[in-house]
Amino acid sequence: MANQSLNQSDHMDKLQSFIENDSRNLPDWVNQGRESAFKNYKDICNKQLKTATWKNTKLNSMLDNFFEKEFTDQETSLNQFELDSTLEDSLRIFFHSGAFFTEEEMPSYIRFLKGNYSEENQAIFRLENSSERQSIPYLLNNIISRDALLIETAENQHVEKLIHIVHLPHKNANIAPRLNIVLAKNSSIKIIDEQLSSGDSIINNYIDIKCEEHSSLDYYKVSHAQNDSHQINSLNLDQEANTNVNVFSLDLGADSASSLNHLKLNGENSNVSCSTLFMPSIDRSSHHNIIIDHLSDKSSSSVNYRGIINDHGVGSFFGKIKVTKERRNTSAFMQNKNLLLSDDSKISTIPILEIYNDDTECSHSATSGSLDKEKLFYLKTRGINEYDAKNFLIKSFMDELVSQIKSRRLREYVNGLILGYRKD
Amino acid sequence: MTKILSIKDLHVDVGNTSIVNGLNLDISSGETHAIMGPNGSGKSTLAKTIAGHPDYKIRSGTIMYRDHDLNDLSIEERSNLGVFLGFQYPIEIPGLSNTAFLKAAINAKRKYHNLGDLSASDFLVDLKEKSRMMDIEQKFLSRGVNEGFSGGEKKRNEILQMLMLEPVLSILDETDSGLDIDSMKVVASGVNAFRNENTASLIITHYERLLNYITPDYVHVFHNGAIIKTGDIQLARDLEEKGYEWLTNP
Repeated sequence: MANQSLNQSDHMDKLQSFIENDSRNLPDWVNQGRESAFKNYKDICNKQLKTATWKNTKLNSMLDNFFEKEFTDQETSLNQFELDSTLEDSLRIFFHSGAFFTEEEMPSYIRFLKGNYSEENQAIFRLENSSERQSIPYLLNNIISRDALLIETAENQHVEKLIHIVHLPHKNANIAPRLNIVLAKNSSIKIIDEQLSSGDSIINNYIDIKCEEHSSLDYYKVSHAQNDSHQINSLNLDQEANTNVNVFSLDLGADSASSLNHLKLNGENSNVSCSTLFMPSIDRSSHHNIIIDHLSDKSSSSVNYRGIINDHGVGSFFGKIKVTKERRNTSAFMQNKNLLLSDDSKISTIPILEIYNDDTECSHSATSGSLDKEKLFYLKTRGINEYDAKNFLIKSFMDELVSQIKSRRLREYVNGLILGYRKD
Repeated sequence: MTKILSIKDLHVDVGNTSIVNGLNLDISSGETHAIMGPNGSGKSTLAKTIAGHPDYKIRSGTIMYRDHDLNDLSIEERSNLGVFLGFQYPIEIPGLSNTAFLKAAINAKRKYHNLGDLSASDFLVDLKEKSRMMDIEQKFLSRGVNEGFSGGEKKRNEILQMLMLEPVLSILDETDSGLDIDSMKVVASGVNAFRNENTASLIITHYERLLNYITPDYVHVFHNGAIIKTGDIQLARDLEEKGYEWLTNP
């Protein structure tokens, strides 16, 4: 349950002090952005902590620990880390200690600061002050982030190579990675955004995606188990007409892991599919919020979240699909299924459809339960032992989502991660 | 002939309801037994009890399988020692391919008997031959277990599993229900291929028609959880003609 102990005034004082005492000689546009974010943060923090979005999370305890973590830059060398080589032939960009870096020449559609805070690089941050961006994670990300990664395709550009963003492990760190993806007209790209296991850290990822007409995106977010850490993944998506976006997330849990997805279908024939597999175990938690706004005719959305909760793990799903009165010929599907593997595991699920007209095809469902006893019996009558039988059924439960990953190599990679995690 | 199954004065409860009441049955190697009986007489309960379903509790009596008291064995041990149950309603498991499932099952049995895994090529040769015998297309084998299979395909898949696992005692629970005549012939040919001097079958059915293709050595009539009459194939024919009432309510 939420820890209501946050000392608001102490927290705000420390945040102000952090901004004022940053020893780096940052340009005005960075400082102004931070100050503006801080001002808004003060206005909304107390109010938002009481909302349903945060009710079941441990955001308060994250904010309590916020200043116990290191903000300082550290020298990073890839040799420090043991990296999986499965996706080595992708274009890899690394994130550590607040900054992005690579070991190879980057194409022009990929940009990050490289320590250069020039006015020209301001565009990489894509700072916005609109009211819909006034969330705790977004504003905190604005205050803390020191770098941003911008992937911006050109018109008619179809990037074949997989882009692999690797967030390297941290220890006792407070980091705020920021990723901006802009797809120009009639372009396409595939991105995997992978957070390796960190310890005692606060990770506040913010991902902003804009898809112009006739563009197509496959975005995969993989979060390994984070030990004694808090992790927030916020994703803001705007889709124009005739766009297709597939989002797949794998979340192996953290002390508290939360995802906040806001997907907006702004143009006709915009289609989005958002699938998430979350697997908190031990005493980890994994909380997921998704809002889909159908803001155009002939738009379609498909939301499929599956939770596998073990030990003392806690999960939650809150999903809302909104179709306003004016919108015609839309379709929306939302499903949340959960598998509880222990007596002490917990889940809460709230799927909501807000539909204000008849010209729409919508459905939603939510189920939670343990492994099917009759299926277990069937497998055992074929000589398969309890442990393997359960694993087969868990795999069966996950497979409907994992099988949607189009790339066989990525699919195998994700399956390997899950298998390794379950063996751990 | 050696005794494979010996059931003595068996009483089985499901929850607070007594379903099997004082059953005695002996099956020896090389024999095929058929159990017939009206709905709710306890036929499927017997099948699931032998296989070890946790909801079916033996209140008293014994089920000896060769030298083993089945009540002492887990479900998977029973299977690994050669007990096979063909389900009345085969279970669908999407995401677990038939091939992977069968391979896991065969290797589980081999491991139980301290044997190494079957080589992939030997497995595939065997699978190809037996799936052809059961008229199951190769593409079905890469699908999830029973996923999207018709009723007949599911039943043929059960017999395929039986042939692959090479059990000693095969219990087929209403394998003929929902089968058209062609599928029934295929299923029967699979069961007949399994029959030999070292194996035994217990076939649970409502109808005589399956027994026209798999001739049983004994036909038992089940009522209120016990055998009330035993005969040969002629008994099945009499039941087909007269129904059960002349036996259950004489």
